[in-house]
Amino acid sequence: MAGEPDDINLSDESLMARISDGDHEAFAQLVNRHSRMFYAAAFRMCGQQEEAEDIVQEAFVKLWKKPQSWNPDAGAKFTTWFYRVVTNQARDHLRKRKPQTEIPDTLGDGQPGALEALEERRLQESLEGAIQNLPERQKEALNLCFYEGFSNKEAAEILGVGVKALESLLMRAKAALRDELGRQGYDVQHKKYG
Amino acid sequence: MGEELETIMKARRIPEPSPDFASRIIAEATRLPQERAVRRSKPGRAPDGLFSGLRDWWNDFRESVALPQPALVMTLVLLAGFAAGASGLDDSLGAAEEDDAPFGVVVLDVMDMEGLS
Repeated sequence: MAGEPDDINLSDESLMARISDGDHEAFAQLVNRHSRMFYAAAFRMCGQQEEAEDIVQEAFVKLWKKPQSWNPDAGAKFTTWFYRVVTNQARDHLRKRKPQTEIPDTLGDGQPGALEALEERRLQESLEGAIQNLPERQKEALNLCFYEGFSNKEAAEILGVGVKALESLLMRAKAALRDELGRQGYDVQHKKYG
Repeated sequence: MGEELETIMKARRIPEPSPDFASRIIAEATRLPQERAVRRSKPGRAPDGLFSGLRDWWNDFRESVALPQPALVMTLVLLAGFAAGASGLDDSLGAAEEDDAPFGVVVLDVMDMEGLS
């Protein structure tokens, strides 16, 4: 059951093979390796820390219970496949919850009196709100390509669309963001005015 | 203009997850039992199909009884022979007569049925 000491460099695929045999150590290693990355992805989709943690936890629990749902012969890397799992999990959460846009307090308490900090905070809130209000598919495309660093081809695979369709989603997402930020007083060329 | 938008987009921040986030996931998941795979085709083989399922079932069965394959085949053939003999294949293949019916159960001949219609 316990992994070998040199397991630290095992690939995701090797860890998954061990997880299929019920190896707790392999599962722990996979979670420690990727949980923050997938948490960030989930947060970008839902905009709430607690909900993002729930999304990732549910996805990993599913993975543990049914590791054979990942088929290495299908050709997708583990991380690409698991992004799809997390994305689907996030979609389920977003559909279930009531319509709301709670802007997270991403800067903590901030520093009273510091104008720069306030401006930064305002920008954060405007940006997060604008992204969260994008249509679901546009938001997912933007997150995958801009924030998660996937290539267009990989992102298209995760979303189950063609590359052209993905590029169209990205263009519309960026145009919508420009419009929304502009409406809130930001000049996208000069960052901020007024 | 596009580059400037991307500069703004980079200002997006993600709050840190809870300190025990990963350990919570591990504890929550590993206390649950794993679901047994219905079909465990090995890499390189066709994943679907009747024979894949039969092969997996056969492999599981072999592992569970821990007998060499020829002995297993022989045992299964013998069991099948006993089962066929015990069920009275001869009777079931031939036409049943009224006199043959045990315990008073009447089996009608097909010709009689035609006469009734």
